[in-house]
Amino acid sequence: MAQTKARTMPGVLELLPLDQVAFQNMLDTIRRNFERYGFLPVETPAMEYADILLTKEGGETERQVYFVQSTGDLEKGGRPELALRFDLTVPLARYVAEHERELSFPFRRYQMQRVYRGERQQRGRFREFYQCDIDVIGKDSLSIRYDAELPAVIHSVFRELAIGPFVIQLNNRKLMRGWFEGLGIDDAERQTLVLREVDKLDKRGADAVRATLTGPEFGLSAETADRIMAFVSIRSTSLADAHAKLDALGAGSATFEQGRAELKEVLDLVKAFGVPQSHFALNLSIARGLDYYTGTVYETHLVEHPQIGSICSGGRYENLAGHYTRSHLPGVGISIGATRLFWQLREAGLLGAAASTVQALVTLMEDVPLPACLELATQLREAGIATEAVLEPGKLAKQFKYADRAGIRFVLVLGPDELTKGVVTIKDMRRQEQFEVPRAELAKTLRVELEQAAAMG
Amino acid sequence: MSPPRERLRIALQKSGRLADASRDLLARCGLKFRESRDKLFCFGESLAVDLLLVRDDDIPGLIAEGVCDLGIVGRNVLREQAFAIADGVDAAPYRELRALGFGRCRLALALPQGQGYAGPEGLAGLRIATSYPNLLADWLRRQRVDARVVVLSGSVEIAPRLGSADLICDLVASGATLAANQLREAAALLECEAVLAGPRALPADARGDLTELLLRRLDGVLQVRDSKLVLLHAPRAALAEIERILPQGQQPTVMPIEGSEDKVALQALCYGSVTWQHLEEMKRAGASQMLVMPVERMLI
Repeated sequence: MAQTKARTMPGVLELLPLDQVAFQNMLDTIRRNFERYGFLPVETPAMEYADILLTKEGGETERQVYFVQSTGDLEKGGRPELALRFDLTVPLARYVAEHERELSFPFRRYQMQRVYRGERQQRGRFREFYQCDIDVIGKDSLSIRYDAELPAVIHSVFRELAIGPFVIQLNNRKLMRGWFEGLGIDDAERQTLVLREVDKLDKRGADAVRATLTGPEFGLSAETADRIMAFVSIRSTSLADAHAKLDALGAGSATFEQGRAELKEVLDLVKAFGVPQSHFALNLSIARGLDYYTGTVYETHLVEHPQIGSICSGGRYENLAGHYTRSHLPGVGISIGATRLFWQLREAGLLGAAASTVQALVTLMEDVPLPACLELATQLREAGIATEAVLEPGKLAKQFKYADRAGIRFVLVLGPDELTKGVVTIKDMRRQEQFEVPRAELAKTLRVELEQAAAMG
Repeated sequence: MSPPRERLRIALQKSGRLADASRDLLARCGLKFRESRDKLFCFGESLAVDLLLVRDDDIPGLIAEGVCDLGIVGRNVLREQAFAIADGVDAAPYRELRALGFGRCRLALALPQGQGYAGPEGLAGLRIATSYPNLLADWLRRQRVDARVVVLSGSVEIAPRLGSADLICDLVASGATLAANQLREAAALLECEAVLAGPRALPADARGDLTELLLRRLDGVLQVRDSKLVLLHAPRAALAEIERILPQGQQPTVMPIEGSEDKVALQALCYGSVTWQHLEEMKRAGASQMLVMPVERMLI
């Protein structure tokens, strides 16, 4: 038979089982914390109607959409009417518009699913990746207080992920736009362009951004560019410092004052939500490229790994679903790019493979009846121990090797001797020790060893 | 990346001065365990409370890092480590929840026999060998004395004979080690005993409830352990004075003695220890036939 080379397209993260366990542990932690803050799960289909997804609002990402077509339709020469979602926000907008009457507001949902983008081929760029989003959507209005709740959820997630010190950084689009207004950049379009330029600060560096701002495209004076650069270099070291630095900016336009008031309230509330001051800060360079953010914007950075960039970003938007409903639905959301985060943590050596979820392997010898071994496996499973039973008898050495490669720590041997004596031999693969345990004590003994492994590593 | 813990973890000394008494105390609180094969971990079978058996120096750190929820450790170790982990006892992320009354000793200065002790001031410029450099330095600072701290990890008591120090600062229990090394105790820096240590705030989850349950049981056990039943005869007129002398406890029972008009029998349950001094004072007040007995169990 003609064979096709087994391969995957670039930009997908496919893992071996023990890495997959580690990844799933990460998703479980994220889910647990989302639920702890009272968010409800939602899933949407991977494919949506193309006209739903392509609203001309997603900017860059809309040029990376994958279209989907059945072979039948392709052969007929039809145009694809379906596309793969490129984020979870657009499907959320469609979802809320479609189910508006059945939902209660404020609607708090979390969604952890894969999204698809036709990214150009590059190491660390993914074409298929998980996003883990939380959003709170209000009907007609949504209190600014929710803007402070999301950093609290994120703090709880990353604290439990235990990937080192991190800082959630906050800014406000109104404050930025107001500052630009004060510098004579009144046109909203032009403000957006400056915002996008400022957003590239981390990637391009201050000098390059300044050069672009004073260059032919923007034509800003050196003094204006300097004031913009001074503004975006502001960071706080504590809550009091954040207030002091915001106050020191002086009076500004109505938009500026509104942005400042919002930011101050959010910062105060983030603390009230229990986030330690070491874990959140003002960073006036945070802009977020996406156009639909209108107020608070967030990024999250690992203190010891700045090269990773933001591991969790989001912000406030004025109207979620203007394309699908007349209702005014303001919201605030934040997203963890779990695939990229996992990949980067692994690259940075912060994550290893997890232990196998299989806790015990019951071996099978030639001269022992299968039912006896199955009974043993059942006994362990009933005690809540995840157990795999070998079903084809073979050399013990081979079965031990299998367990070793699969990362299963405890291997149980039930030979003729053990059967007569009413015991089981346990081989601890990690310590390379072997010991006998009476059948009646088996589950309890193993439970202690497993709990010890969980407690002491 | 572990899920929230539901089982309480207590760090205990693996072997040494406090090991057996710590295990014994927890057993009296009704905790039953199944040991791991390497005996470094005990899985709680009667309550969701597990034990980690470790070096006692590691216990404060394990609590500080949240690896363990509680620990039984000597006050000396707990306080010494508070300077390494934080900025001293008050800044440490843990605190003493209960004093457990065993492993009593004191951290004391000891001088070669024949040398006089003229108070802290006399220590200026001297070399003091110790395994507790932080506690000693803190004490010296508070006494405003400038002495040199010589850090030794063990066998501190031989330092003066070896000439590496002028005196020592070490744990003293019976004083036998000091005597064997021709040293004498000069001043006590800290009274020590085993303590139950825990975080400044109890966990808000099931572990917090377990800690409270354990503390209640512990209080009961400690009270019974220290309680004594006192029986004596006394002139009726001396009753008030004798009740004043007795350590705090339950209201005494007073019974007439057949054939004696003046004398009565008194039975009293006392919570603290009843010392020779108590007995002598009561004898002076007129008491006789005094008996002090341990209490096995108590339900009041």
